[in-house]
Amino acid sequence: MSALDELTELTAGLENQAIKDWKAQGKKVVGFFCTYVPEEILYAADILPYRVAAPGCTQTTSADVYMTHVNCSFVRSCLEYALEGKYDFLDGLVFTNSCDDIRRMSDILRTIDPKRLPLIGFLDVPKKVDEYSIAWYRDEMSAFRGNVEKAFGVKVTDAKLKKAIEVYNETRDLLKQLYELRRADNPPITGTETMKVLLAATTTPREEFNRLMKKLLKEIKGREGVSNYKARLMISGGGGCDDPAYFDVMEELGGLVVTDTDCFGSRYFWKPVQIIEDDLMLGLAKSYLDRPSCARMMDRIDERIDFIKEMVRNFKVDGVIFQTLINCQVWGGQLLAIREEMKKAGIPFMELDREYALSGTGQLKTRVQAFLERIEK
Amino acid sequence: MAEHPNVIKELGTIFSALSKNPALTPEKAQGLGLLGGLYLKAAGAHEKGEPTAWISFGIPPEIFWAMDIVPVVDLNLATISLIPGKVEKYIDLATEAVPDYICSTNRIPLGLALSGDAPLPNIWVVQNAPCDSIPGLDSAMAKYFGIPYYSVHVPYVNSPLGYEYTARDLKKMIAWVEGQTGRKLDVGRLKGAVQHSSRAHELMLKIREMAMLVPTPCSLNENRLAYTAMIQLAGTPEVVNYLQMIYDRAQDRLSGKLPYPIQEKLRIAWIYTVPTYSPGLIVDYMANEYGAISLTFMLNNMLVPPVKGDLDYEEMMLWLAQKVCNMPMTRECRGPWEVYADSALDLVQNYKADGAIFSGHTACKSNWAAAKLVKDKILEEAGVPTLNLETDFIDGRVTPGEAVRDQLIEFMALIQRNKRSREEKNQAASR
Repeated sequence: MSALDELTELTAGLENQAIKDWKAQGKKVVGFFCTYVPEEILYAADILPYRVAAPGCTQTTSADVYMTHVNCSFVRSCLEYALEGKYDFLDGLVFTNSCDDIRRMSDILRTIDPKRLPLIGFLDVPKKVDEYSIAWYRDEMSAFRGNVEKAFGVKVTDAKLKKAIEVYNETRDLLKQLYELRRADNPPITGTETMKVLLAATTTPREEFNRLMKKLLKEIKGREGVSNYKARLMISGGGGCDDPAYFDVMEELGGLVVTDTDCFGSRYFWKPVQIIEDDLMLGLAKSYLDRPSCARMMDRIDERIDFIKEMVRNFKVDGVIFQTLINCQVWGGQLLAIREEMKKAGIPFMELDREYALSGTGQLKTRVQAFLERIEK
Repeated sequence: MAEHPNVIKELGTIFSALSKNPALTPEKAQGLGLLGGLYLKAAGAHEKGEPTAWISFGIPPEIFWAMDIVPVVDLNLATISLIPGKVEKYIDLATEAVPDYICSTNRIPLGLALSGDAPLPNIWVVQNAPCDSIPGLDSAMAKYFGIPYYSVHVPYVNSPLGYEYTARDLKKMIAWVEGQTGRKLDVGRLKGAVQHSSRAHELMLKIREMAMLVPTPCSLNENRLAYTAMIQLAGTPEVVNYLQMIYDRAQDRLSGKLPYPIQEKLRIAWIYTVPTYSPGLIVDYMANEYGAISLTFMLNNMLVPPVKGDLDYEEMMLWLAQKVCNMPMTRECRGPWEVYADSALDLVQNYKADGAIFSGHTACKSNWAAAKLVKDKILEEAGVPTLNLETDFIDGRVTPGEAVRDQLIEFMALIQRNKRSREEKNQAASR
């Protein structure tokens, strides 16, 4: 089986074989929702960090008892799955104040059924980056480290933490190598395939994932590459576009997704975590806050726009599809400036307001088709 | 080419004129006069080329008054909705540029800016609380219009460490404002502003106590504009005089010198916002048809204790930081739901409400996701029912007044029944 097939297989269903194997060893799995959670701390405690999503969720009847149509469909879908018991294989959850909807999901779950998915920690992630907020987040992470130790009766030593950072940095480096290959005129991997690789990264033990990534990189370097595309696309925006079906629609129509600035994609791994030998927590705090940012970081809009432009340049992008989840206020508001900056830079730009689950592709196809016709070379 | 109107100046002129209307109660008239004066000052500063600032509500206006910069709370430009038919144009214009699920109070300044009908400020200071709309849109607006921008980060929960953290950020903000405007903070003036603000907070607490009395001598009808005044004018003597007047008139009602406007039969606590539109179909309707008095709303629930003694600079900054973190909405909406529930329970229990109304603004995602938990807790702990009402509290097109009234009719019937049943039980128990 090819590495790509193996990685794809890991994305089938919520609980893949690697997780089952992990648990069979008596080890724990803890879910999280946001890339600002320092997974390394969990991994150093021999706990598998699992990025929670709700693939295939088509209705939110139970969740809608607690949330309403004004809340985002990603969060309502995750809440639905949590209430249905679909995450019961998890040993707990970690939350952040990522956005209003996610933090309220934490409130709801810990209030109505605190034992089902115990809250292992709640990190107050600052919404700006400066010396004070870095110090604040360092303390939050340290408290989280203590919570993990207490909840699972383990000791997160500096040696284990450093090792975890190195393992995670290796993942970051391998994913970046994969993206580098996508810069080619004929990239050896499609956007849909890449999305599957990224999804595997969110749920698979790192050593195993890194092994498969090395194998994948070797395998695809020999591939012929995709040449029959009409335009090179980039997915930008927020809300975490984790459904390969979206990419599939775009690529079936002749677009080729060559990069992104999404939190399931490049923003997750673009910069390594800095190892500060005498203060690993400080290195983590600095690196997590100083990564390509989510729109929740209110003082980083210039950096966000620059990052989009840099990706467009480096990946020879013909057009940007800026997707936001309906009701996502942090990213919805950003449109005003990002649209304008793209216009000034002469970068073709398509806005896509979407629900979490792709239901009915007709309208999406029409819009993407029109966009491709506009930018096709 | 037609010249753009200056809406801020227009608001100043209209509110100032309204404040002279003898048909209005002194509480309303003076409140509108204060707002009118503020907007005229802001417009005047702009015309004279003096620095002007937009600030998020919660950012201490005291600091800006002490720097001789007129602070206009950007979200409070929603007061334009007090003039019928004026706000829709700006909301619609903004909705062409950003999605309609962005808060309408954020879309109003955007619409004003896009239309060119409001002069843009020289600087803008925002904070991350109470909701995602602010960091999401304000940073984009600042970028789009080229307005220098500073963001204050308020931690997720209140704590002594959090207050110190916020105080440090406020000091950094002051240095930034000084750099941008060339205006230096005069610590002596800040002391004066903090003293005025402290007195204003003391009066807010006294008005709150007064509003809790049965029957209330100080309902929402009288105290509605207190919040609007405080978020922009705290630190000025004008707001102290205004609040003193509200308090004195409530005292006069209590001592029989002034009549109570309506005979109180039911008591209502608005545990969040109150629609600004169609009062005749909502707040006034409830009062006139059912004797249901709206006692207060969450935004008026300012609980920061006044300062004690003569504060030095560090102590003032810490007090102001406490204010930032405890500003209504910032306190309730940014952190765990229990904080909001406790605040709502405080309004229901201490104000002895027969019913609570959660008028949930459609854009307030966090509050809608807590609404059921809060409603259940109020029923469980206070035995009081809550009406969860979906509105856009500024834009009456989302849930028109008639639709709100229809829901109120059912709710009024429910709390009337509850009250009768309570009274019957009490009578039976006393026999």
